Amino acid sequence: MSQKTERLVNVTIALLETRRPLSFTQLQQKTGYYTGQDHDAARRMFERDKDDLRSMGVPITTEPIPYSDDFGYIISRKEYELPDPAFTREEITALALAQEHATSSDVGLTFAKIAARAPDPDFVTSTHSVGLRITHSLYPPEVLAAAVVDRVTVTFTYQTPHAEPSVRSVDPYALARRRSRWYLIGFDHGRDAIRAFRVDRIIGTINTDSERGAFVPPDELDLANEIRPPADEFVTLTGVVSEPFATRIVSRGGTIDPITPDSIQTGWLSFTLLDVDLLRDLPWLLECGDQLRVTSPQHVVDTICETLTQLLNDHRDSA
Amino acid sequence: MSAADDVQRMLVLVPWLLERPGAHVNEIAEAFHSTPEQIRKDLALLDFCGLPGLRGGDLFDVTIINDRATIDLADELRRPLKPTPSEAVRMVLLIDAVRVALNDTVPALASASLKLRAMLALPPERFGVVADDTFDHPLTVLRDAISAQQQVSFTYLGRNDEVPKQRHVDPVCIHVMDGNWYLEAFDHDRNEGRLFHTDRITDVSVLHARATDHDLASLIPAYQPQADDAQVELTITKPGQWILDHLVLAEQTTTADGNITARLATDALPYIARLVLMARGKVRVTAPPKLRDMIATLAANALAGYNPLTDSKADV
Repeated sequence: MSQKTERLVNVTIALLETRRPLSFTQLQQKTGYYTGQDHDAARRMFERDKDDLRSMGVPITTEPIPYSDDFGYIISRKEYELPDPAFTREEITALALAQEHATSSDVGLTFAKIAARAPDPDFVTSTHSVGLRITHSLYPPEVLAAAVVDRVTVTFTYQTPHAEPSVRSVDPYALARRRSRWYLIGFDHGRDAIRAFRVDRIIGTINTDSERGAFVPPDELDLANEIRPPADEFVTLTGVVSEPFATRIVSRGGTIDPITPDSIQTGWLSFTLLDVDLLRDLPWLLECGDQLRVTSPQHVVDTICETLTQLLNDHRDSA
Repeated sequence: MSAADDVQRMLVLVPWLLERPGAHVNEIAEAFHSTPEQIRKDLALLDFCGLPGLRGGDLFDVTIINDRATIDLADELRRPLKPTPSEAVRMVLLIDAVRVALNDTVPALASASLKLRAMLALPPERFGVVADDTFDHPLTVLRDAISAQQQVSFTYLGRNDEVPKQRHVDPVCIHVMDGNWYLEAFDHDRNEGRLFHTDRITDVSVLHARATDHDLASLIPAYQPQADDAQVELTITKPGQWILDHLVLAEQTTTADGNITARLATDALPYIARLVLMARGKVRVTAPPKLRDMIATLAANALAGYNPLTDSKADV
């Protein structure tokens, strides 16, 4: 293992140091590696190393060697090096504090990269660090993150709930997460408009389709607005709710009507809930079961009754 | 530790040491979330790196005296390797989650986040977290109660509850897991640690009584299947497969028509019943009969509210 580590570090140094792309032969001479008897095996070993380094973010490119028909390898210093962020001591301390809250250490190496040439953080004894743990395990696929940064067009198969899967070609403008879901926002070539895609509905491989810098994203993009369903999908609900479940309406920004003699007698409170997105809100409305009843609009009442009927039929034993 | 981690650590160790000549091995280990032993190995290996090369003699020179390390002749690696886009996304998301959780009380974190986003080409309009503003989390109150070590009470709809109930707890910690928020707390009524979804917490009041210290690690025991657990079998169609995120399965098989058959053990049938209601008919329970009855009854009672004339209740 350590032999491989040493080899990868030295190949990185060789390709950083050179001013002209190195042919495979030159790389062999310069590093002393990949010189085994079996030329093909040595070559395959280099290809594997090159892929490993690239996956770590070491930007090895293949370029024509000037005054030659051959291709060579080189690392662009500009692509490799992290520019100096010029963090202040307070900022580095704040970043160290943020890292303290992470439950996993997977940002440790990233933090070391950005802080390598920055001042050391102050000793963190903040009271802020008490009682807060942050865990992230859901990330957008590497290829999408890279495509947004590098402005590369992507193609993928996309599944929607109501239609057959279709192939989309998209200029990826942005990635946004709402709650635990990732959305890709971009220009959909087939539909000639900006669309939002749920990343978990992308099926199979995401292919990159263009050179870097293939498009210019719009200057202003309101992520919250892009991943929100169209305004006509929002409805205002009215209904009645049992007293113990009234807090669920309130916690979602709804209002409970003042108590009347009638509501005291029946035990039901009337409510109004604005900006209801059925895709998002129908599950918890159903979850309330017989403790909540929608009275308008009628199409929501119909949807709920259809779903309840199906649930009843699916679970009622015919015996 | 993979070879990839080793290589990246070595590539970053060089600029880090160039900035801090004479750093102690323990200090390096802390900065790299590693062990002093591993760092000693890294430094020994680095001493062999660098290339005899065409320009002659450019081997790195690593000196370690009394566990303090210095590195020379490593100009190729004077700057750290740029994080990959997904690494950068992780870092930026973590920082933003902390910012939100601390309610922007650390101003340097905001400016650091902006610098970092600029440097990594991740401006907020390209990578962002969209807050779901329909949920009014009682976070500020809970966070303040944790800092002040005060007990709190609130209303909560628990896994086994039919209706929300009053809870009385010592709040210990707020967990943010992939954008979902939980309160970890010691529940006085149940006399054990519990994890509460903050979006099911309402009506928080901070009490005057002081909260006791609790050991976090031992507070919440992992769920252990018990002998008297109910054995549940579900048929899940494709649009209902989000439900899998909320269950700990014993077994799962995909049938020819793309549906998933899932088996699991549970001590909380009402919780599963509610999940099935939430799945809008995309998930069907095949066993046990008790859970099927529970769902049929819930659905029938709810339907009865909509059709007061037909007494569906009688059918079950």
